Amino acid sequence: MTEETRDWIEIRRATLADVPFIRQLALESVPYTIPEGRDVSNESVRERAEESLKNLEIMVHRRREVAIIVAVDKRESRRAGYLILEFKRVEESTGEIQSYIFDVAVEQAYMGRFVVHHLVREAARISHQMGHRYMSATISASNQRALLTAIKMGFEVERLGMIMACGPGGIEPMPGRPEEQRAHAVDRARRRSQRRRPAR
Amino acid sequence: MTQPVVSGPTQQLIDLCNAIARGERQREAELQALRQSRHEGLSAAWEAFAQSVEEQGEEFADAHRVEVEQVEAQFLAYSQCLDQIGSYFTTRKPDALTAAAGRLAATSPALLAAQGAWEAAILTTGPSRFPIVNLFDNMGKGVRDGRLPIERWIVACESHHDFYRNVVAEIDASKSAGEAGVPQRRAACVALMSLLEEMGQVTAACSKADFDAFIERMIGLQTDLEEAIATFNYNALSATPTASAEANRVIHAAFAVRDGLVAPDVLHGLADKMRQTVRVSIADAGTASRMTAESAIVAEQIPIVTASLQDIDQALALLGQVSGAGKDLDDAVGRLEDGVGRLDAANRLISQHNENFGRVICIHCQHFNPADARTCESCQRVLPRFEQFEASRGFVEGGEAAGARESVVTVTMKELEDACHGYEQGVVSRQALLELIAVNLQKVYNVQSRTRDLGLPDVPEEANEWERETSQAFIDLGEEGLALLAQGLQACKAGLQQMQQFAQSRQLSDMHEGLRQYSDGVQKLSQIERVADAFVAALPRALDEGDATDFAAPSSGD
Repeated sequence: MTEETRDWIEIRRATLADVPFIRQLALESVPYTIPEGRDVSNESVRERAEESLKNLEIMVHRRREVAIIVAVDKRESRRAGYLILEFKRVEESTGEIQSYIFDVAVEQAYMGRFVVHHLVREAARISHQMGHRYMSATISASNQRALLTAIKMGFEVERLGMIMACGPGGIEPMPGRPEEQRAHAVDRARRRSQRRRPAR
Repeated sequence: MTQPVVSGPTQQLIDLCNAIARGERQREAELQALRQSRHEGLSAAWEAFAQSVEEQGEEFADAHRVEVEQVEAQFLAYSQCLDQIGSYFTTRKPDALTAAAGRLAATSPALLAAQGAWEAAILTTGPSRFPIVNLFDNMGKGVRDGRLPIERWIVACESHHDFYRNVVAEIDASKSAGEAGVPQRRAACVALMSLLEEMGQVTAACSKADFDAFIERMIGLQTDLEEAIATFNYNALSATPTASAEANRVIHAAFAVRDGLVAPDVLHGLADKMRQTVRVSIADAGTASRMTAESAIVAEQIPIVTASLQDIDQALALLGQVSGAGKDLDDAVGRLEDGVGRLDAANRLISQHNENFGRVICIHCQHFNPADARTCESCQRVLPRFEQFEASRGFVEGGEAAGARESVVTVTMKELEDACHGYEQGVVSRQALLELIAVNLQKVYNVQSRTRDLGLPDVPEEANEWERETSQAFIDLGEEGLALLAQGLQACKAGLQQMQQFAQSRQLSDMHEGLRQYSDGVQKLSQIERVADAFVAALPRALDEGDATDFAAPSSGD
């Protein structure tokens, strides 16, 4: 994180007024959360995400259960991203109570500006205030960007989630997503293409 | 029915929505501004509520989860109404405004009510077990700290005063006004009304000591009220539907479980407790059934008592396991009611018998007379002059005693019974028992030997018809009396011999049989009294000498 970022970024608790922004950004980010090996449609996952965000207004105020924080560009009074942090999650093997980053997203325009670093740092601080020693998160294996960012921030890979497709013969290869449904690969390809194209 | 209350700003919003839906589109900017203002107000109110929930702590919030979720749901509904109004500016469809206005009209009062319930939950929470005490204690602190307007305190005093006034009016109009606990309840309510009138006069300048004094008095009156209600409920629940107060409490608990008002544990506890009493009674009834019954009534009723107690025990066992409403519960309650009814009927008969036991039964009309009566209260005939005493449990009925269901009891019977029981318990020696039996047996032998040849003269042939008839009547009476004498003596002898058998065998059955037979004999002999007047002169002197302690010849004055 740079001093420059710290000067213009503000991290605060979300209010009712932030809910439309969070809901919209969450739905826009849905394709990036879908593992590339699955063939479930973006639309159906988006519908499911909408359903899970139905009570977002209530969750904003349930501070003992959830912390929803937003990053705001103080210079433009514009929201840059959000993070939803759940408390009192039980670690599956050790039984320890820890917090969990349910969701985090940053506006496209603010990517690469260390906004997520500020959000995660604040989330860790809040987790400690709530008595949690650890904060966990889940990242899709295909979201390499997020994975690298997380490791750079200080996350460690603790478990790897494995998946297998099943069929009449037993083990099947994962179906994979059609090209038009992919998110990360599309972005990656677009970025490569942009780098190769000379500036005009 | 009162109309739901809608807040002022919400009503403004509703009116604007309806106006624009009707076509007053020039007011759209006003609507936008008001919607924005309401949105900010909603956000602030929701934040304040969330803060309030945090302040109360996790345990309190969990205990009042229902109230919290109700407020949240209404806040969400209100927020969605505002979003729906906002959608009008995108779609330009007046229906959105009309729909939003309708929802707001319902949501606003619901939100106010939900917030009120949450505040009430906070205010009524405190160290006292009486919510009203916590309410006024918390409100008093709020008034003193300046957080609560004094008007709210006064309104609370007035509304509670009205509540207790209504309670008093209901009591005065009730048929139960005189029952246990109700006058005390009324008095407590009247005192609370008086206290609340005083409390309604306070000002914010009143000291902490003044408020504390009110709270102390309120605690005392609430305690009195609680005790009065408990007394009334206890009596009400104990009075019906059976004759047993304890069974009634079990039955009412079962009804409460059936209606979902109490947990089954309450019923289980009451049923198990009653079972302990019933089991003791079953043991006592078992002991009584092994002893010789005092009379046919007791002999008849003890098995009924035992069977009823066992049915009651089984019903209670079922009730101790039911988990809720259902056929099992209904059946068990029915069995309990039935068992208690049968037990009560049997106990009444036994009690009635015991009341009359030891009284002198008139052999002419079977009326029960006081022990010292010389003539029958009912028919004025002379009563047999037996010495009366308290009967012990060993006496039995002489089953053939002229249809009478109660026994004539004599001194000798008591002596023999006491001796037999004393021997059974090791208090009386075998020798003493055998001696007593021998003495009485000898008496019977003496009377038997002296009356064996008793007979009645034939009617002279020269007797005329009247003489013959009169004589025959006398002869019939005499023969009846002689028959009673012979049968009675034989039964007494058999009974005494059976008691001798008991002295050897120590078998209770021998003792009971011996006492029963002896008593049968006594009952038969007692029937002779009705012909005694006619036969006194004819009976040999030996009969009087033979059983002088049991029978006394009636004097000419009787």
